[in-house]
Amino acid sequence: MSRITIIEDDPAMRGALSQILSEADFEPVCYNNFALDAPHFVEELLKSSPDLILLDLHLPDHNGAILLRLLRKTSQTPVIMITSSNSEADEMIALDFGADDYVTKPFNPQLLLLHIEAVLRRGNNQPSIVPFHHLTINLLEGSIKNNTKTLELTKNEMVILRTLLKTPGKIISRETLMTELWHNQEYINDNALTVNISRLRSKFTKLGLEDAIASRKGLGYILQ
Amino acid sequence: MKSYATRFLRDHLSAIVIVPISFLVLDLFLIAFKIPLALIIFINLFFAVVFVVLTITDYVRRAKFYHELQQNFQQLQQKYLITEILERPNFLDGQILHDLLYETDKSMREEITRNSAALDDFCEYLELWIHEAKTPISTVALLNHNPDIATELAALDNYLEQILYFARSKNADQDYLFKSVKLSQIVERLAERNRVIFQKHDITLKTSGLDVAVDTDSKWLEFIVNQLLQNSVKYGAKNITICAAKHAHDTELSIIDNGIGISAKDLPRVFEKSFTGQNGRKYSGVHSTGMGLYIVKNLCDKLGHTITITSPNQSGTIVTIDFHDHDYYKNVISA
Repeated sequence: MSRITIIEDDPAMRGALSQILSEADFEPVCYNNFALDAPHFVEELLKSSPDLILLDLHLPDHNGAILLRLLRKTSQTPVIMITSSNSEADEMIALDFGADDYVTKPFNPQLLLLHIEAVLRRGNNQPSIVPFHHLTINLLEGSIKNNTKTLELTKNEMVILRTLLKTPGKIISRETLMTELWHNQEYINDNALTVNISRLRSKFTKLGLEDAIASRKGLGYILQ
Repeated sequence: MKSYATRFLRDHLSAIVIVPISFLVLDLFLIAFKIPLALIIFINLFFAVVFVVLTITDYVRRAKFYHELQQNFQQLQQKYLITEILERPNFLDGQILHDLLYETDKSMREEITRNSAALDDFCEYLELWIHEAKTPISTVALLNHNPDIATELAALDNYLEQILYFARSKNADQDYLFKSVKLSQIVERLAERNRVIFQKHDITLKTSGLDVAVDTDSKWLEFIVNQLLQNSVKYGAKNITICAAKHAHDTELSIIDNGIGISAKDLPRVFEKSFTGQNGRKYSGVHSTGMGLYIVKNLCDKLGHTITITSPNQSGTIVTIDFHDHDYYKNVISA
């Protein structure tokens, strides 16, 4: 379980972020001892050894960008900046000072999780060949095969399968799948998602695996 | 405008007429008192010379001052700065005029300074306020699982952005930053931002040829394209296509929709401030402020992009933004 430290001055926002993160199986740590001066703040912050830091650019007593620069002197912990600013300059400062990514308020929860996962994944890549029951899924080639037959997947099916594979045995909502698809420039609608899921299912069936993807009505899909 | 000389003569007409007449009357008296003719002629000549010399010196002093005043006034862009470049004249009424003008201008400049400081203050506060307001919106967006609320939040966020960019477009020296931006990157961000709204309205989004870079401020451009997309959604589009074409000296980004389009009568006026047109008034469920495209046009002008809107056969709308390849930008960006 990855530990994510949240540095955000607004209590409601802090609560919401930590709720979202714990629902998504992360371990959120809120750090809000803003009374410390910047060097001590950073020092204290790193004591909890977070895997990733969510840092608000605008804090009451500190400048997020300066904290980030101090942090980068001693640590390479991934940082995602949260900004409410729509200015190109702020974004450049954040990235120049060593942020790995940034999100602009307001953002939807799935999108934030997507960014977090992407940054965390940079360290340890998802393996490209995944065994699944008696099948082999090749995420690089976009294919699934059993001993005798190989079936090619379309890009949409690939994105869906990759998302489901991240947490096999857990429900993935349609909303999450849609976010992933749109994030991968596949701007499909609701019906198309249903169609893609059933195509994917039938490909599994053709390779002799029935019910690989189960539907939970009103909730989403499970890879099992 | 007649020359100052003619106007001066007309202004002094009474003196020019009355003085000779009174001399004639004086001469009659002098003749009646049997004053020698030579003396009468001498008196006449003497006073004629004095009168002419006085009038001419008066003319020269005034003409110099007023000529300078008029000429400077015409050349000046900020007319109210006139007293700054004008010498104080050496005759009384000119001095009174000059001093009054000076005081007027001074108080006017103070008023302008006060007002522009107040406006700057307001804009600064507005920007700060918008950033503050975004935090609770984000908090609600994070806690929310209801797509209807998500749509409303997106609308609220959109209104906030409109006023933010309105304030920015008014401020000539606002913070924009040119760099080379991939169009695909901007469209991807916007697609993600608007996914819920598009899905709610069952809109199909297609993109093509966006793998080109243009020189612009990516945030401003993102705002501009987002306004265009919001309009497409507002006016009944079911298909939206975003495509780009690179030419020798420019790149064109087009947003094409199959919504209700714009009537030929309204088309030339869509960029006017507060113009709502037929669509804004009649199309059901639409609240048009007439500000969106006005702000968009303003920002495009500031960035040096050309924006055009057409509505072929008055169904559907095609908006094209033309990014010109200026060497100037190239130098700025590489510097």
